Amino acid sequence: MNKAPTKNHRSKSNIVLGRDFGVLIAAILIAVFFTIASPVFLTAYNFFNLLRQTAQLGIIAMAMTMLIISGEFDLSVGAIYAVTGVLTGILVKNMGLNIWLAAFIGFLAALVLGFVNGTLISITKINSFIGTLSTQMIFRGIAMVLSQGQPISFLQSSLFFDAFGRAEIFGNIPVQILWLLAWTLISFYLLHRTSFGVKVFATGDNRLAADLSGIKTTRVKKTCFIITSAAAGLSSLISLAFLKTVTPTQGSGLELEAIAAGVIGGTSMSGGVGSILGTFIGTFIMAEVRTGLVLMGTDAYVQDAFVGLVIALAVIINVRFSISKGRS
Amino acid sequence: MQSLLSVQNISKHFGNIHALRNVSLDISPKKIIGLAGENGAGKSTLVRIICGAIPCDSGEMKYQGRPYKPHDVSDAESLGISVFHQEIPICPHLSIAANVFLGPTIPSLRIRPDWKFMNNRCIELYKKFLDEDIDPTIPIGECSAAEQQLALLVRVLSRNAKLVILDEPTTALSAPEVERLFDSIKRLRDEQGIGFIFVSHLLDELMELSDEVFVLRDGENVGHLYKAEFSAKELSRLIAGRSIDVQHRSAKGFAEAEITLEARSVSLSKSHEDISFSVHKGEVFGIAGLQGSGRSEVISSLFGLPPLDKGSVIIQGNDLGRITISKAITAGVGYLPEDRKTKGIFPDLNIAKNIGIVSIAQSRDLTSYNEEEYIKLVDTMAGKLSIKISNPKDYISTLSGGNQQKAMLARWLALSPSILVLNEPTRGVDIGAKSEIAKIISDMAEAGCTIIIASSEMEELLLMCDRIMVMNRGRARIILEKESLTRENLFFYAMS
Repeated sequence: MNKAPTKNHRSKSNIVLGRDFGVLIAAILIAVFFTIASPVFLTAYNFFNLLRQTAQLGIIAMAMTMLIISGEFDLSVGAIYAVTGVLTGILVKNMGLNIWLAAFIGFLAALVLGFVNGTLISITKINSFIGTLSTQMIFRGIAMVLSQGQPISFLQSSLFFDAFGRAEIFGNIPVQILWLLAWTLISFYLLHRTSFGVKVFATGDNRLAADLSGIKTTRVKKTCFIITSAAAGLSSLISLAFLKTVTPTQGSGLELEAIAAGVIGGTSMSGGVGSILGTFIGTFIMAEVRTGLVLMGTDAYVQDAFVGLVIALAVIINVRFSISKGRS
Repeated sequence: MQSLLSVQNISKHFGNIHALRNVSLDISPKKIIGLAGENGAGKSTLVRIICGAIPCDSGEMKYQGRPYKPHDVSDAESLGISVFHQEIPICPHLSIAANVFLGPTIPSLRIRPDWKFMNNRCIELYKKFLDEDIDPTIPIGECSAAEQQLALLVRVLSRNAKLVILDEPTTALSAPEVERLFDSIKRLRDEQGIGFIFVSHLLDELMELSDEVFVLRDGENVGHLYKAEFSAKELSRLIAGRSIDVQHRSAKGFAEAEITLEARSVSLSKSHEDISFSVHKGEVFGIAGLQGSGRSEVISSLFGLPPLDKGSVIIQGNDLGRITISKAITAGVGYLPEDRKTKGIFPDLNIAKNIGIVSIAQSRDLTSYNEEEYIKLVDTMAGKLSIKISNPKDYISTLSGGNQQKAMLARWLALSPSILVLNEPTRGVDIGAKSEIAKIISDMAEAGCTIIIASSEMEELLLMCDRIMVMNRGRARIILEKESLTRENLFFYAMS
């Protein structure tokens, strides 16, 4: 009964773009709403401020999107984020290491933790929700033990702090935004313009079929875990540079926000569906709602409730979308 | 005799497609009515109209002499018309009795489900309908597929069904299980006077079970046969609108040709033991056997799925030992899995990626992916294998079963494999596509590709293969060739 081919043979009906377009419209509508509600919402200052706040979450959310598309989760990103920061802090404070070297080692540690996650999930084949829930607690414990539960502050000045979090390009563009854009471009290229990206989608969409097509799905998933931990590491360094302080409890709840941003952007929790652009806009929407509510003078406690509402709406729309697509 | 259900001049459009055009059926009580047709002929649309899932555009139905216009499925059920679906909804951890009585009203004592009553009633129902004794407390997930089907049949019948629609009920069953289900259905017809509509695309089953067969083609009635008039040839002519035109391969000798694949006493502890054979360049080698004979396991273990327990596979002189998927692909082997839905397609990826995926898997991770390149591949393959594709950027699910299957083949053809291992290459495709796929396979062999096919359809193997190995209970019984390659031999060795 599938005999009704639309005649425009090479119509550019790119499915992925169509979906992202919907999220973009939502982001714009929300912006319009807040612009009407608050005169300061649509200003360059607020816009850059919004993007700066988005940077840390956005970097992690985009990597998490890749991981979710491949069919796994990582609930330990928040803990990896803490370990990277705390380790860097300890190396500088207690061992007197150069900040650049310490940050590099902190970043490497993040990669190692990602490798641990990936290996654990692929060897034991346990559900990544449970697997990374346990590593989340272990990693958080490591951060606690290393820091003895105390925050660590940096008093010295170094180019490092400027490069990762404090500089403002052309006088008003925070450097975090450059990191965010660079990470976005790299992730976009990797997921949507390389063979690896197609392998990620295929692995998450139908793992058995992917195996039978010759894709080494275990390796694909492991790589996605490492990319996610790299994002957590980078994000942690940006935070460290901006705040000049780290705490062992930082980043708790970050994993769920990252997943939420992906979901708002159209990522399917069952794998195989999602996009970097969607997640980028998804992160932006979350920041938009938060900032907008602050500017409107809303009670801080109400904000989370609103963000929850946005997530629920996004998921409902996504589910509708996949039903109308006619998948059995 | 008054008919149980009469369907008169039903039409149904979906957009500008005529799914059904003036279709009429007459269903007598105490009869099993077969409904035959290719995929897309309108069988399922008709079934959905009868069971109340969708309304019809025009025409009318009469049920037991009264006008019948169901609002929805439960309305039809309350009148006694129930469907019995291909995919069974079941709560695997609950008992048989619970599955039979599960519904809006569960027999209960105040707020507590009345298990004693349900168990006893379940035993009674089984006795009455199936004349079988069962233990209703067994979790249904532990029962075989056939027993699960029977439980659902009992469930439907316990609600006073008069007409049961069986929609492809045998897809998940093995041959003896099918027999058991058919026996029960015949008994219900004879003893309880229940009418059945039996939807299937398997001619053997239609002919065995039905009293009459209605044939649909392109949404129209094209034939109505009574039991005495049944023949495979006539039915397939009506279904396809033409007879199947697969040329029997001319029996060539391949003894001289180079051996491309050799299996040396391959074993897999759960399914097969000590299987050896060798296949030549340009040959089509078949593996036959009943369900559970190890046929499907042997062929998939040639592709390293799962890796062999013992033995080795030698490809073009290289001993690959316990072959793995990646070794097999590197050696030039392509594999078509038996279940397209779970092991083949990527439902959320477009056609270009679905066809390009094997080539993409072989490329390095950081190779840039250019969709246009794969759209060109789709165009080439669509031409070569006559796949009907309107837009390579559509989801693969927009293609019909036959075209999806051809797309699965196209994946591997992109690598120009020297050996193709095909597990049930024509499962779930209609007759037209079957002969096209057979033609593709024969052309590939002609071009020098070595082909190994496992299939549950013996007729097809006979038409396509040069030699056939017959499996029986995990062992290779015999390799048939030339004069010995007959239908009788094939069935004899597979079954005895």
